[in-house]
Amino acid sequence: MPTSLTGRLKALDTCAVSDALDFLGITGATTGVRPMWGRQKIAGRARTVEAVDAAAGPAGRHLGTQTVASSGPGDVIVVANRGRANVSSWGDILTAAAQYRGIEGAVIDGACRDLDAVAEAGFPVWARAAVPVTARGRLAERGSDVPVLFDGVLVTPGDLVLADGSGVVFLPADRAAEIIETAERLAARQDAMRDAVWAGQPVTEVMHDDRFRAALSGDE
Amino acid sequence: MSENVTEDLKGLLAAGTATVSDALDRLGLKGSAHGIAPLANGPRMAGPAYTVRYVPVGDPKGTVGDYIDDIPPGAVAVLDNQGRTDATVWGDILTEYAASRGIAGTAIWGVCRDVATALRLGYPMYSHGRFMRTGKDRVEVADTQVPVALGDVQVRPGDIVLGDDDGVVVVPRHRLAEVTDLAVTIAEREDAITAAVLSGETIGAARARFGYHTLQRGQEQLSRTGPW
Repeated sequence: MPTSLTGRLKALDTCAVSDALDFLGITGATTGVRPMWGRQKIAGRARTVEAVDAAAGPAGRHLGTQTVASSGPGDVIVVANRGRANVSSWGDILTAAAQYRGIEGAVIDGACRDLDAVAEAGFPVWARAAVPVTARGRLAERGSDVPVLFDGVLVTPGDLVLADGSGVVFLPADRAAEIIETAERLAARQDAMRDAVWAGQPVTEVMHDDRFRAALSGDE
Repeated sequence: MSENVTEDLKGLLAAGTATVSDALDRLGLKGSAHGIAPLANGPRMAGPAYTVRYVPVGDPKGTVGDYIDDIPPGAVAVLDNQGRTDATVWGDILTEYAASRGIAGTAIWGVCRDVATALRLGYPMYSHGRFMRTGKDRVEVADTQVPVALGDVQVRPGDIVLGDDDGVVVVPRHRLAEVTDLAVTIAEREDAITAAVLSGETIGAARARFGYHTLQRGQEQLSRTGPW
C-alpha cells in the first residue's frame, strides 16, 4: 500500500479524482489534453513553464529548458500555452533532457513534436496535438516555476498532477490530501459497482444516481 | 461544444455579459454581480477567478498581502471586501503590476483608488466605485483561493469571470461549456431579430419568429444531482 500522496494518487485514475474535485467544488480537471502515444500514467508535482508569443517574450533561453534542467524524479513538467495547437512546445531534445533528469513526464496545454522519437524513447507526454512546427522564433518562455493557467485551471508549482488515458487533472497542494481521500472512497465504490454488475445486478440499479450520492455522503 | 477553455472565453466575450446573464437566467444560475460596475467603457476581461477575501483589521494587525505574485497571467483578481466603500483594496501599484503581468482584470466587492492609472492603461477594473482612502490598517487579507462573494454572487476559485461595459457575470467553472453554448445561441437569435427588423419586418413578428420573449426562460430544472 503506497503511503506518499503521489503514490496514493498514482494508484487512482483521473476520473475518480475528477469526481472528487466535483464533489468538493474544486477546479482541477482539464479537457482535450490527451496522451500522445500508448498507455501511460504519471503522478507527480507540477513544475511549470509559461509560453508566450516570441514577440511578447524575452529572447534567450529556449522554452522549457530552465524548468527541465532544475526538475527531477517526482516532478511533472507542465507547459502552459493556452491551448495553442499550431506550434510545438515540446520535442525530442527536451524529452532526452527530461529523461536524463528522471522527470516523470510532461503535460502540455498546446502541441508537441518529434512524436516518433518521444514514443521510441518511452517518455510520457500529454498534449492537444502533435505538429511538426517548431517553437523556435514563435514561442518564448515568460516564466519558469510560476503560477500558470492550464486549460483555465490555475496550477501553482508544487500542485499534484495525475495524467492517464482519460486526460489530466490537477490537485491544489493544500487540498490534495482531502481530494485523494475522497477519490479513494469513490474508487472503492466504483469497484463495488463493477462487482455488483458481474454478480448479475441490473446496471439500471447499480448506476442509479441515489446510489452514487450515498457513496459520496457516506450514508448507505 | 468546444473542448478548450480559451475558445469558451472567446465565445463569452463575443456574446457579452448581457447575453451571458440571459443564459444564466435560463439555466437557473445566479451569476450576475449586481452593483459591480466598470470603471470605464471599452476594456473587457474573461478568465478564471483568483479569489481574495478581506476582513476588518484585527489585533495584531494583518496586511493587505502580496497575493498578486500568485495570480497567473490570464486570471481575474476577485477581491471580496464585504462591499465596503470606506477603504480601498486596489490602487495604482497593483494596476501597473497586474497589467504588466498580463492579468486579465480585477473585480472588487468594494472600491478602488488611483483610477487614473487603470484608465490610462485601459486595465479592466470593476467595483462599487472610487474612493481614495487606503485599506491598509483598516482591512487585512483573511484568505486567498477560497469561495468569496461579489455582492450576492458566490465566486469560487477557478470560476469564470466575464466583464464588459455592462458589468460582471460569474460562470461556475463546471457549467462553462453549457453556458457558453447557450449564450452563443441566444446571441445568434438576437442578431437574427435585429437583421429581420432592419430589413423591414415588424419587431413583433421578428420576436415571435425567434422566440425573443422566452430566450432567457428555462425549462423547469429537472432533478439536477450533480456535475457527474
